[in-house]
Amino acid sequence: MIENMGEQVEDIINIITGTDSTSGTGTNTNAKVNGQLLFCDAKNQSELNDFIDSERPKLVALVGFANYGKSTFIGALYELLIQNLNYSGYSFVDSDTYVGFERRVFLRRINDEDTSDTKRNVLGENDILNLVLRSKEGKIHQVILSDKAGETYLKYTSSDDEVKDDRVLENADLIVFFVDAEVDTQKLADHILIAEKYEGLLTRLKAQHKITALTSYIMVYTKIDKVVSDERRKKLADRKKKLSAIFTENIGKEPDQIYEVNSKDLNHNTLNQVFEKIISPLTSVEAAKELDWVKMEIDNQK
Amino acid sequence: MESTNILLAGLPAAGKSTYIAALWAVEKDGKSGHLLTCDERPSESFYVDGMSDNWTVLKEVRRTTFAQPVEIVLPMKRQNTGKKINLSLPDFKGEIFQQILDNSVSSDVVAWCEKSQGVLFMLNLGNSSPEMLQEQISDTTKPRVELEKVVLLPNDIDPAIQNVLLLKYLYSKMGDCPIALCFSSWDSADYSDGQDVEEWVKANHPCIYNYVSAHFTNYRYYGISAQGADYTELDEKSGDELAEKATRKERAYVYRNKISYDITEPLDFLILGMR
Repeated sequence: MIENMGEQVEDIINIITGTDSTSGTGTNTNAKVNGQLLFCDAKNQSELNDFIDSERPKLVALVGFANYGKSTFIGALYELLIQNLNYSGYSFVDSDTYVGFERRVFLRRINDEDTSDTKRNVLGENDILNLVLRSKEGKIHQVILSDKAGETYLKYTSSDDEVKDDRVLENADLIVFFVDAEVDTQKLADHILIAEKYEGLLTRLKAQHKITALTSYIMVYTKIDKVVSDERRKKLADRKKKLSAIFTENIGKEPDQIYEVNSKDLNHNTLNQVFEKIISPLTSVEAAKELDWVKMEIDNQK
Repeated sequence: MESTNILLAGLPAAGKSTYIAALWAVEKDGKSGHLLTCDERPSESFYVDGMSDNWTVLKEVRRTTFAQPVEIVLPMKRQNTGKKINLSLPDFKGEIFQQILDNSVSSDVVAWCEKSQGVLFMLNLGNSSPEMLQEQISDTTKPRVELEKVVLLPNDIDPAIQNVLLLKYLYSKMGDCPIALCFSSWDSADYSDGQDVEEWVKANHPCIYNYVSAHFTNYRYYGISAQGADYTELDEKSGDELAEKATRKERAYVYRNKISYDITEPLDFLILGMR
């Protein structure tokens, strides 16, 4: 009886938040909340097998809390890919999640100031997106992006159970951690909260072996256009050092790179550098890595 | 007589019906000298006659509203070989194709995908650059935010991506078949004289070009003006001139790198590619 009640409560929470952390089969939940999903909508991690091909895809996890600018960032990448015949040496030739990208761009289009992850989460938006890219030489490679709503990572900071079912982070070829530069350069208390939240998240990820010293990761400070004055710039420099130290301590290595971007300016140099890092194919060494996440998915299906 | 089924596909207002109207109006007398022309009158032609009547009097061809597609069968002849072909095209209403984006696929579409050997794909994306399209969407899309609820509808998807999604569906059903992609309302398109239409697609709709070139080996782009002009811009004199062009069979045209009044070129390309 109590178990049933517990399940019911969890179901209700899942419907409200649009997530299904227990089984990963978010589709039905989504359908309840959002009506039918559209053709080529985003997938959830239980559908990762759909993307398995002869070549190992590159898996990139985008991690950040609500309103840190992940959707705007991913929307900017998508817009650059669909608007250019060739972007950074690659043509965007296919995706099984065009509509997943469109949802992120749509949120940005309808109201720039009101595109919180909360709304996305209520929508039950799935997190897995894929890009099929073709190089100038005609070689095809695939990039899979995980763009979970910020609330999911907030839950991760407080519960091992929430973290343990995550299959993306431990297998990610690259993790991109987002920080809202605008908020981080305001009151000290805001910066402390950001640092605490990340410390909480990283501690649990480390404890659950989702991140290790072998993890390749970068930090991306978004909304950098809002950090203009010298005072704010100085604060940013100081606080960046402090936050990256927390990352270094928990992950066991320094970030590969720290970027400052304005995702609303598609010509922003640094933004394009990050995108290039994300969409470039795996190196031959990376590609030779064991297909742990693929195996795991196959085992789960047995 | 050999039968050829071609799937006429496109989203709402892509120009599918207008193309059929113009095709029938120009080719029904069998005197065009075009690559394909009517060999004989079909036993029944009420439907296409009604469409081409509107075309003749410079009225918008009524958009298809029937839930089920009307199958149009035209007995045609290839001029250079004399070979006779029974050409079958479905006149679907565009909403049926748009429903595919909503994961709701009509069994009629599935049936036509299975029996067709090629696709005549119509698009009406205007001549806007991708950026301009985005701005238009921003201006016209009313915020759909109600408290914590935001709903994305198929119409909210970038128009070029809507077409990519439809192409993706057709590819999943029909594979790498011959496909002619026709950009309608070409009379109002922004292109430079002599510009190759494929180059125009690369510049204006790169996501469509990239998808098509990566999936189809036998494809060709066309600009097409089935009406010959924008009716809203016609006065009596220019209307008379357009009607006069119709009598010379020089009103509707296709474009690849120059204007051709043979609007059967895309169909002929598909038929040749089926071999």
